Amino acid sequence: MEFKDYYKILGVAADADLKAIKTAYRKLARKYHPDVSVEKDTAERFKEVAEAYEVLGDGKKRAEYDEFRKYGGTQRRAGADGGYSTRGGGSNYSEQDFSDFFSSVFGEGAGRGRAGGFGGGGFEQRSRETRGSDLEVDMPIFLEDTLSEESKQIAYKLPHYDAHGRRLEDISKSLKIKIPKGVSDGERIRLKGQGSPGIGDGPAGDLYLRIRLVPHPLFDVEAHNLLITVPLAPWEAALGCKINLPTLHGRIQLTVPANSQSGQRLRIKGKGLPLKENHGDLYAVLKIVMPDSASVKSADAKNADAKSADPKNAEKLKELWQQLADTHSFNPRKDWS
Amino acid sequence: MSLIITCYEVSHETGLSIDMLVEIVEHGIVEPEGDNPEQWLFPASCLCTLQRVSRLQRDLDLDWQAIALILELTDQRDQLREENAALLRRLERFDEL
Repeated sequence: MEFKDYYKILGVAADADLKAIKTAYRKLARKYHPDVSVEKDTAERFKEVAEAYEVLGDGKKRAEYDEFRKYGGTQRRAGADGGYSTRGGGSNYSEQDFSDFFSSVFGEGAGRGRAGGFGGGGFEQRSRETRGSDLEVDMPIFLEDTLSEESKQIAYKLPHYDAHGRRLEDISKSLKIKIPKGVSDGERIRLKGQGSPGIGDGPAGDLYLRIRLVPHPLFDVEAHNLLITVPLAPWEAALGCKINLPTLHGRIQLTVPANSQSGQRLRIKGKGLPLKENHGDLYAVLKIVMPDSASVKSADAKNADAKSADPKNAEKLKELWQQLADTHSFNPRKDWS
Repeated sequence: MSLIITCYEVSHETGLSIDMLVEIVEHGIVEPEGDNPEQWLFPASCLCTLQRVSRLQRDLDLDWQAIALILELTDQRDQLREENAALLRRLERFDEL
């Protein structure tokens, strides 16, 4: 079992007074508290800090720990067990109790239950019956999945404790979930009683599924609407055109009106994400793209090999732009004067 | 879908006592329906909030007003971070492509 240097964890000297220890704990607790921090995986770090403070913040425990530390952490409390140290990956909510190291020094049930559980009870109540801990699991969902009527399988691991608070091997579970219509990114779905099993006769905890919409190569999500960026040639924007537009629901014909602006949004009703009753909308965001002069081909060479760009065409295109420049007095920066 | 639960169930699920729940409601952190604790009904979505409240109170030794403020500010922060990420993604599509 790994020796834990609680002084190092709190970043204080071995002779630090209680005030310094308290300050160090408060600072680290603010930094790593999983309900406040934006960093990932802070729960484990926070638990360590809480455990260190549980010991160093208590005169009697600190003296006991110092004694233990002096002998290089080799003496073990008689009759203490431990040694099982599987730490399953999980979420904030699965973190429960102090380390095996803590139990080996102070014995089972020594904690005051301060860090007793992101969702679980402290040591004290654990001996008889304790409700199992809640678990939060990310559930990645592809945008296409939101349309599907089929259930999606999700597998997760449940931390599991025996009546003495010892961690047992994680339980692997899998569930089939029908994705409710109208879910949004970050939303939590609560599944009562699907969390960790209770201890003794305690009831099981709950499972929270956190919906994570997986970024899509084409579509962005804005509430229940979808956005797709539509690149247009300048003449397509000027003259209008018909486009074969991909949507989540399959391809459709989109008519781009003449004189469209870059950044303009065209609304396609009902082609967004599903809601309880109907669907959100899809917005086509127009983006005017200048041709790369080397790749310009004349209209009748459209089907020819893409690499056979004719320098003559580039020249011709330039002439056409020049004609526009010569014949039009459009000043896009008239607001500047 | 939107499950409704009583304050006894909430207390059981979150480890917060009824007295604590009364204070939390008085601070407007969650708003159950009903006039007094006996009649209170909470939407299930409150549970997550109340579990956060419970942990913050226990781990950081904060008073209710401070907890309410933290919840509001962290929610705002998370919302802004998400908005920012979404806008950056859209900007990227417009800049490159």
